[in-house]
Amino acid sequence: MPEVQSNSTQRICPLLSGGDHAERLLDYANRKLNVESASLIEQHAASCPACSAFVESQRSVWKALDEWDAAEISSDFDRRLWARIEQEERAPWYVRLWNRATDFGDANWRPVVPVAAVLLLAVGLYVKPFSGSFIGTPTSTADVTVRVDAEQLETALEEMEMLRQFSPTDSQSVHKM
Amino acid sequence: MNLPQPSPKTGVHQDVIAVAGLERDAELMLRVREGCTESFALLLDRHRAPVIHFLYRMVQNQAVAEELAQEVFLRVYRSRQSYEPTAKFTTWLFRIATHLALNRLRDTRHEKSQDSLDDEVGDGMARQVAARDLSVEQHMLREARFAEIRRAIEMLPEKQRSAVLMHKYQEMEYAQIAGALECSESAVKSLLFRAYETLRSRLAHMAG
Repeated sequence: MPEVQSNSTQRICPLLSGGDHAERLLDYANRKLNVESASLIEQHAASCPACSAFVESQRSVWKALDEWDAAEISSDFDRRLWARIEQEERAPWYVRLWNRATDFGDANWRPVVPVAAVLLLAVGLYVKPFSGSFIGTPTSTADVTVRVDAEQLETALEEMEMLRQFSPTDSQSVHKM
Repeated sequence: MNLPQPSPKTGVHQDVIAVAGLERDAELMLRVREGCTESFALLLDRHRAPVIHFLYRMVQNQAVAEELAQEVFLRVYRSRQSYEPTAKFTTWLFRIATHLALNRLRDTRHEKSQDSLDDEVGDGMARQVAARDLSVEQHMLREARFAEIRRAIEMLPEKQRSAVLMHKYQEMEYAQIAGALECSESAVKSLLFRAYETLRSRLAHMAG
């Protein structure tokens, strides 16, 4: 830990503005430092009212957060999960494929949908002027195709999401909620 | 599919438990990839409570937390074929949990006030069981403190909230939290510092 110029009248410790010291102070307050590092912090805090107050205040927060007990877990949690797994294993191949394609384990796929929609719109806007100039009709075949594709894609996504969500255990839990 | 038959005490076979002392999560997951559902049951046994408790504190609704936790473990199971132990299992697990919780919070932002009312009733009843021995006054005081802590956490921005919950209750390292939140370690430290700063200003008076 770097040397600190502190005295009893100091209200703000320059080291508290960020960096390693603030991080170590936080770890110290949360009792996550090893003995050697903790001792260095203690030496500094003994002569620095700002850091001393920081530690005291952080410990109060830590203590308050300790009071927040988590609720008891339902006894049928595992049974419901295994039922869902079994049901999914029995589901048609396209449902399983959809499930795997949409969650990727840890990946957050949701942002892909609006991006895909924007891309589709951009393609639509790009295709429209060409189709107008070549064919010369207000609603060209290309225009219709793009619009239909967008609608079909949206409908297909909605239907597959409904399929994915549809299961007796799901509906039970929804009612329960 | 051959589902594991849970033992009355732990929910998994004894032979798997014996291996578990030596096995690490990633190794168990590799066994799941090979089709060992008992290893998955063991992983579930080990991580069920931390995941549900994290989600409960994130969404502040027990039923929703359990529903999200089901989805977390379902995703883990679905991903078994493509699983590669490149990161710590718990980091991966909490990354899935965080994504689901953040999506849920974003989806239901408009329903929040109604949800909170429902939660107060449901969770309050759950805590009454634990607090039977308290006097009415002590009970009310406890409830007020509890509500204040919940509100203080709820008011944190979502990423700060996730970081604090993983740091405080799951005792995860900065690197693990960074992996779960998909940001740098320095970003996590900054998130935590700001979050605790806010909490200190809101909860410091609760000392003693």
